[in-house]
Amino acid sequence: MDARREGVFIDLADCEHISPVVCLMLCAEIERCQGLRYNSVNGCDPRSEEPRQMLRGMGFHRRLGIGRGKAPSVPSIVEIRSGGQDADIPEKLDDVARIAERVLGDPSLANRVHGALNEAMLNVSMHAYDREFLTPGKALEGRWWVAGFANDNELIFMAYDHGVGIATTAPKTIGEELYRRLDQALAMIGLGRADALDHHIIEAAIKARRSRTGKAQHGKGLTSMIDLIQRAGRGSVSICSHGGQYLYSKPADPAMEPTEGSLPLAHSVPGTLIIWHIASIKNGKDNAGHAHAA
Amino acid sequence: MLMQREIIRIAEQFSRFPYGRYPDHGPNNGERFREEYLIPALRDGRELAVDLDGARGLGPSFLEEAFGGLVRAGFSPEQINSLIRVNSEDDPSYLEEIQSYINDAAALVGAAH
Repeated sequence: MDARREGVFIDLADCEHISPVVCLMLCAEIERCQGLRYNSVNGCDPRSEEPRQMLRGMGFHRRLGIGRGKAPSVPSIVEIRSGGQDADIPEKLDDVARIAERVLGDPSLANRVHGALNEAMLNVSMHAYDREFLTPGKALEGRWWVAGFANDNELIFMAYDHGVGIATTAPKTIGEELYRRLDQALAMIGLGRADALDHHIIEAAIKARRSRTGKAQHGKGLTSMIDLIQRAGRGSVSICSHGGQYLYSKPADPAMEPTEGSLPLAHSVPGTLIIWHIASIKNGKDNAGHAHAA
Repeated sequence: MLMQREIIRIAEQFSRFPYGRYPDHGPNNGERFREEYLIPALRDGRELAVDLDGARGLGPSFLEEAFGGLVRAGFSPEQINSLIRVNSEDDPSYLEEIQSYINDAAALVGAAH
């Protein structure tokens, strides 16, 4: 949405289904437009009950300050919340830990989940809106959005920002270790550094962070998420950042190795979207049938 | 006469929500904890026990800045380990994590010289 235009009307009337991720991204985009140009966005709710309930349950209307009355909070949902370079990020995300504790059954692991999300939002405030690369007037600097929900013994968290993207900031924040890994990965497929696309750089950046070499311990949010998947037993993380996507997935079977990789996105994301799925394996039994959501 | 180890309970005496590295990340940052609690003890040669239990959402940035930052402030891992003991009954894995930040900071400082 371009804030210079007359205005935008978001017509969700015929929407039959809306995913939590879309709720989050749509809310963020509306806030971005309203923040850059007040009253530039209007819209209408879906006629169908299912998507209306999803929007309500995710706190979409509450977050945007629209609609009448107060929808009841759903205990298994972490409603959309947003912040910037706030000092109270840990307090804003504290109910994350409570839901995590209930689902994972491990208070220390739940506290680590809270810590990993805090760290991810700190990274957003520190790096994602680097003014060296940011186009003025296009984003609410420093802003992030987080939501999540619990399902049986699984947690899914989503974090989103309108920053310049990991592929842009990583060379500055990681340095030589990034280029070493990038050159190595590209050489394996017969490419050189000049051929690097966003997804190549994102994957090299994450692997560089996880190796803990190079610069002092910055940017540990994503590595914390992966470490916690390993600790809990099963899960995945998907990172879509501008033109590339990175995926890490750990199956429940301890005999199977985690898989990771990256691929280009057909449609660029105007920022960075993280979808973090973490599940516990209780008593050696797995919750059957849940597919990884990328 | 045995000296008692002074106990700092982060959640009660510093903040229930320690967060971030630097003052512009918020008031309860790792740099402040290091400067106000850890460095004075090291300079005075006082033994300190840092209790992490009850602190919510501890993240790597806070811990690395607080403890790894001691090396960047000029203290050796030996000095740090001899005077500062970290306790965490809720999550003992913090101890190994903090030690890794101290060791990694020392390696980086060593590599720079």
